[in-house]
Amino acid sequence: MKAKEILGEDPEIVLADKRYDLISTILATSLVRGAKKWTLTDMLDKVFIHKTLGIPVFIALFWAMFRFAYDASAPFMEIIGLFFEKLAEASAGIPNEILASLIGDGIFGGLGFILTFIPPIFFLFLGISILEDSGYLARAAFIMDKIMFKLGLHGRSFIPMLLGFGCNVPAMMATRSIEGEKDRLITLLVNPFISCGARLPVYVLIAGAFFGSMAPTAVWSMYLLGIVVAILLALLLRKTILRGEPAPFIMELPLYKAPTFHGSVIHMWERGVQFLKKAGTYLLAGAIILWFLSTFPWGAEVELSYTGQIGHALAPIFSPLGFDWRIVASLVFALLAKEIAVEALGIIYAVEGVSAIEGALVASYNPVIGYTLMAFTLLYIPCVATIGTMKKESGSWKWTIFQLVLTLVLAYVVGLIITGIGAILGYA
Amino acid sequence: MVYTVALIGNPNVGKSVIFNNLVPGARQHVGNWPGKTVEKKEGKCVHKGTELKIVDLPGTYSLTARAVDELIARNYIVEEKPDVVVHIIDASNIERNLYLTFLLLELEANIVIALNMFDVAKEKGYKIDVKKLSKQLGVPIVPTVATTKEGMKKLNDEIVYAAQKKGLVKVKPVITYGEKIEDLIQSIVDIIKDGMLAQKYPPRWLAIKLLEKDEDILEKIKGNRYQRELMEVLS
Amino acid sequence: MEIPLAVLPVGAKGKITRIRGGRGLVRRLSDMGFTRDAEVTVVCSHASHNPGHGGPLIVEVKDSRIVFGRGIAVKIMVQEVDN
Repeated sequence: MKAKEILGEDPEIVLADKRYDLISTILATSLVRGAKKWTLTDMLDKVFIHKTLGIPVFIALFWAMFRFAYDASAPFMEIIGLFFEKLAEASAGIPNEILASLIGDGIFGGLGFILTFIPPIFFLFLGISILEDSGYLARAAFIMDKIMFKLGLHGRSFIPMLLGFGCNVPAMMATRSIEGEKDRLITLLVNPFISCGARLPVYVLIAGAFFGSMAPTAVWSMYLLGIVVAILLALLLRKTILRGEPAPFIMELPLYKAPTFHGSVIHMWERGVQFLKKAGTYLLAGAIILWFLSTFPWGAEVELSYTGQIGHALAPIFSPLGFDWRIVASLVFALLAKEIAVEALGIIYAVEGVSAIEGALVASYNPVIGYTLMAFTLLYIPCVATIGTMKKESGSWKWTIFQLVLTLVLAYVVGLIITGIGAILGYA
Repeated sequence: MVYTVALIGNPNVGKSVIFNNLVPGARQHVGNWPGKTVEKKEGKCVHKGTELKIVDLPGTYSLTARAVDELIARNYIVEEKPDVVVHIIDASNIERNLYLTFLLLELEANIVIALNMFDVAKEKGYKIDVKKLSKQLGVPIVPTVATTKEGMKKLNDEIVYAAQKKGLVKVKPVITYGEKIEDLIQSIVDIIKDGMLAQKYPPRWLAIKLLEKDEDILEKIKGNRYQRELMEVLS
Repeated sequence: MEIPLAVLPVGAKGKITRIRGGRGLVRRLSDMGFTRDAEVTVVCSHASHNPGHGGPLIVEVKDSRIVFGRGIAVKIMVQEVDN
């Protein structure tokens, strides 16, 4: 008495068909479909999914979104920066010197500096929420799917990759919509190579110091480098440890609808708060640890502090790249959040202000080292918040540590390559 | 007395808007489903003096064992047995959305349907006889436009009402799948009905899952004394 | 005559006869509304010159728009329906 024989075919198929049969029957008496259907959506899709226009429109939209995020957030960043500055000044009045330093420099100073970068992240979330709520994001994934497939990635990997240009933490959180485990893991592993917003101040500083009018090009080249490395790595992983075909890309395209301000803001808020909660604890802990390492032994100069000592200890490893203890120390600082490298260099050179730091850099290093440092900042260990997110999203220490090692090794290797090319070009 | 209310529906149906309508932001709590990396959103609210705990299940098209999301949603319903399951449907896309409804009916969940995006359906020129649909499915249906909060009050009322009458009235399956399939289902139910699994899960649902060769359920019957008898019918 | 959905031109309608694929794919498609006798309309396709290769396809099934790769469209067999 076998099921398949009785029914004539696989019971699963029969059941699915039966359900839809019944649904049709029920709807026949309770639903009357109108003639008007997808007109607005069709018109919009003619442009958005146009064979040749589709990609340029998409690039334009995303460029606009990033612009919006950074421009709109600028005043907020100022306010937050000022707020923490005032708090830091106020805490100088605390009687216990060490406590005053902990709270003033460590918490308000260090953490405050990082928190000034929250507005762009929130606005980025807002931009993404608007694109998502309107229905456009699904079209974007559709347009990019063909390319993604050739890269061994899933069509849905595309949105996390894109978000990575703002911040890797929400980007990695966005991999949840990817179904295949392997696809998801690959997307998570390569995401940190997408140059996030935090690295930009570092590039701008270094490029500004060394490359004059070529500075914007140098900065752009970092973005390109990140993308290339991410793609190559994804292909490599797909062919080696995470073998297999990407999971079938099947996605629903919702009707376009005007995103409500209210709805998108809620979306943004949810994601932003999640980000703060996840990253927040790591950032606070990291800020305190870093403060400790750089302030103790108490009263010592930066060079003799623990951070300086670590810098000196590790410097030999990095000398092939031309990095001295100062750079190494600032890279240690930047583990907390990559934008900290800027401030760290200021502290280490005991100067304040961007042009002063630039001056110090030019005085101590040549352009090749500068470029190597930019590339190293791009590629090496992700910031603490990203590491925490990787652990959360991958659910495993194994892959998180793998990513740590991978990024460090890649950064070093690429650094060597750049140094080598520089040597050929005549820089020692 | 706190009633648990689970929200479920396809992606893009406005489930999160409804969740936000039911639970103010401050009372929302985001965490993870135990042992999984899938996000879990829940919150508490009060409606007409009744306290409700709302759990937002992952948006899914189906409830197979194949995807983590779907398994989480299904396990929550069948093991935690929430007092009410609010199934949010996109009114402009009813046909496919109802597939999930059928699966929920098989799970014998205490369903209230929120027929959301009712405005979009209207714009599409759809005319829906809500009363008739409700009768045919055997569950209450509330048309809603979550973005303008239209229908939310009625939805809240229906949720509380459904929670209060749960278990008082034994629900008979309104949906049946035709003689051949029903006979098969019955013969499987007869085999498993005295076993432990049938005490924990609805027997009819188990039978359907077994017919579908559901990986999770097949795993669960391994080693059971009726396994051999079952496999003869199934394969 | 049974043909793969992939070769249906834009605007054409087909009735699904069967899906050639593993259980995973069949289930997945069925969840999205692609079952036997379901009517599918091709909305958009970045067709290139060889059917079976080229970009993804957008189809309409049961009131919703679904997009998938050509690799899948080749496995969905339909019978063309006159409008």
